[in-house]
Amino acid sequence: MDDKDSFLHLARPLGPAQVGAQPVTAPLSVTIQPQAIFSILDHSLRRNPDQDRVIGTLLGTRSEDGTEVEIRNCYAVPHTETAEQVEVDMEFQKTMLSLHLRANPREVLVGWYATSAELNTFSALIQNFYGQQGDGTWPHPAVHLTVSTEPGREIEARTYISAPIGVTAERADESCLFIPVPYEIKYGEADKSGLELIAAAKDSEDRSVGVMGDVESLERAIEQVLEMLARVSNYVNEVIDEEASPSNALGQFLMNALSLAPKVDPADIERDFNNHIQDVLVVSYLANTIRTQIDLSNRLATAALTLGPESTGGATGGEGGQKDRQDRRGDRNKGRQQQNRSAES
Amino acid sequence: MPAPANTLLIEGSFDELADELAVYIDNLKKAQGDEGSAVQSDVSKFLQEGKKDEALKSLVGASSVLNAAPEKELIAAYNLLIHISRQSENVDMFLNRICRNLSKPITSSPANGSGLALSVLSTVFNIVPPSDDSRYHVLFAILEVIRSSANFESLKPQLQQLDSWLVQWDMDEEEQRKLYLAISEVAEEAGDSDSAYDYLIRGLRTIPTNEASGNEARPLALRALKAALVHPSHFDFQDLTALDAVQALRKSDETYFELLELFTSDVLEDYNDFKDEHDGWIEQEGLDGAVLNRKMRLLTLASLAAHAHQTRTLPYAQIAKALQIPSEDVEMWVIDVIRAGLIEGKLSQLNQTFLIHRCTYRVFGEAQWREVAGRLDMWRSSLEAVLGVIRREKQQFIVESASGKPEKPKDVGIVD
Repeated sequence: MDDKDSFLHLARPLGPAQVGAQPVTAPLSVTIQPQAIFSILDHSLRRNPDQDRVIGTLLGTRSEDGTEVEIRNCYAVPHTETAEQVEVDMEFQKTMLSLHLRANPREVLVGWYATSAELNTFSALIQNFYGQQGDGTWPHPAVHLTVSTEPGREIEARTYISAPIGVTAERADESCLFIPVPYEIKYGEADKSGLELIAAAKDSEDRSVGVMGDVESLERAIEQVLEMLARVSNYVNEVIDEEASPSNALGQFLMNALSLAPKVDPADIERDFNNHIQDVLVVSYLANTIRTQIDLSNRLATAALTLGPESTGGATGGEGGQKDRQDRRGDRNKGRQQQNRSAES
Repeated sequence: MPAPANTLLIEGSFDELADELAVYIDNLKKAQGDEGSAVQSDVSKFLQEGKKDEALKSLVGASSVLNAAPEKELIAAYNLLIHISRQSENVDMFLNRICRNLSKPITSSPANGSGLALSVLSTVFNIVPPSDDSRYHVLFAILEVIRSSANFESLKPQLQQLDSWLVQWDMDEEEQRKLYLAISEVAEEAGDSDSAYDYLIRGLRTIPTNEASGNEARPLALRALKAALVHPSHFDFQDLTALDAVQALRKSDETYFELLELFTSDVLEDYNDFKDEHDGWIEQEGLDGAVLNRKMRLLTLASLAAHAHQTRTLPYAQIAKALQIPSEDVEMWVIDVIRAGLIEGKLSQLNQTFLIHRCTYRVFGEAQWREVAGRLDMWRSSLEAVLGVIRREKQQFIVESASGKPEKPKDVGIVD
């Protein structure tokens, strides 16, 4: 998805002026959150077999001046396309939008997506629908995201905004110029490790993969760093042996990075590691103790109800060493006995 | 899969669209008091005769009037013109003309004119196939507009693709140089001296070795050299010395080259000797002596720190002596050098020493590469040790839990 087409984006077309503000032509950039791409791909998988592409609405946030758009969320919109005409369920779109905005008041309508890289005159119509005044993104330009979903090919995403074309009103309604705009798919650290885990399952037969524990992931991370170090030192050795041409900038960069590299003694590490393991064990011991206590107190409370006051002492006898707990239990049992008595009298 | 070739989506035949545009142009001309305009009749005559190119010629010829169109309609009208021009065989010729029109000021919108022109020009740029060298000329038109509107900021991030473009367009070195220098000038005018210097150097790199001492290369090399010397935050002169064109200055402009060598590797003392030897030369060449002095001091301190990297400490007295400054100013200078990014460290007022964490090597030679290799090895060996510890612990944990040894506090179990 990362091979970028070569295009220039210097200025967006002049939008309608907001009250009290100068219309701006500052260029625009789009950020896409991976979960939006995922639901688009999911939608594309569930489409009717006779449909070439499916469309949906993009939701997200827009910076105050409108130059940065972030696509965070999306939902599918049913539409039918034939050779002559295109039909979009506008009622559905409106209802869904208002429901979504109620659930996520911070998100706004930013545009629409299609699951094919192709642009045609229907795209122009739909684009104008999303960019219109009233229900559309007006006064901001609507963003059109195309995600190619041809099986067996790389998935490619592209983002566009539009500019009018044509000198008469009727022409302008049915046509538009799509202007490619730069986009970036943004992964957070957490997203990335989650995705890596999911992707690890793609080569296995049963399509499943276990979640790694802390120690395993630490081990894996160290192995990765070692691999990278091997690559770098390979280069450095080549430079020293005068096989590769030295780059001063690179050398300086490495020097700076390495001045912070820790020098650790294996014995220290072993000691620290063992200390840490002990800490972890203590924490897990305490966590287990607390869990047991909670469980215990739950059972005691219900035991008093089911067995009556006399038998509670026998049920829990021998366990404990927790004085305050027993005290509390005693209090509670007292209260229970009083209650029973008052019920009898 | 390549990007869709066509981003201009409009229905209607060539004839219809050309006719509509001709009517529009006529109306515009009339609004400007040119009653005799008859583009439409010309166009319809050519169309009836089936001469598409002739019709387009008269349309494009009259299109300069579009610059006076209301700002809301301007982009739409230009887009239509581009769309119909593309249907001709001689699309380059028409696009060329359109670019020239757009380089002229847009009369209807003084505030947003450059934005509008850039918007249409980037459309022209984008519809030309990526490997077509017409893009090169369009880029020049764009640079022209950028220059007049001082809008280098919006072009700058897009120039990252410049190298791949130049490869795609298959430009020779002279054309590349022309483009680099044009960008450098635009950046200079926009006050972005970093980029201006960067593109100047790239332009210099395109000069082949055998022309390095030529008449064309010399002024450029001198310009780059001066820019680098007086630039407040440029401290790495090795990229300059590596250039053939700059090496050629060794013969033609000895004093400049001597100065460059001083700044590449020498310290303040040598610089002062140079000043004594060439008294008044710096002022005579229009270089700012104060800036050079300051820069030399910063560099000297960086060199000092690099020499002291074994002990990692520098006494104040040594700094004061090398920089020829009073000892109470030492801390200010050290802070300046840290701010310039040449060194990192801590000042210890109590011990009157500077503790170096990291320093920049002005000359990055073999010794430095060896040090990098040594540090890499050290890091790797310590990481391997860590990995060994982790593996052993894991193994131990598995063995222990398999043998049923009460590792986890299971014995607190619930009595039911």
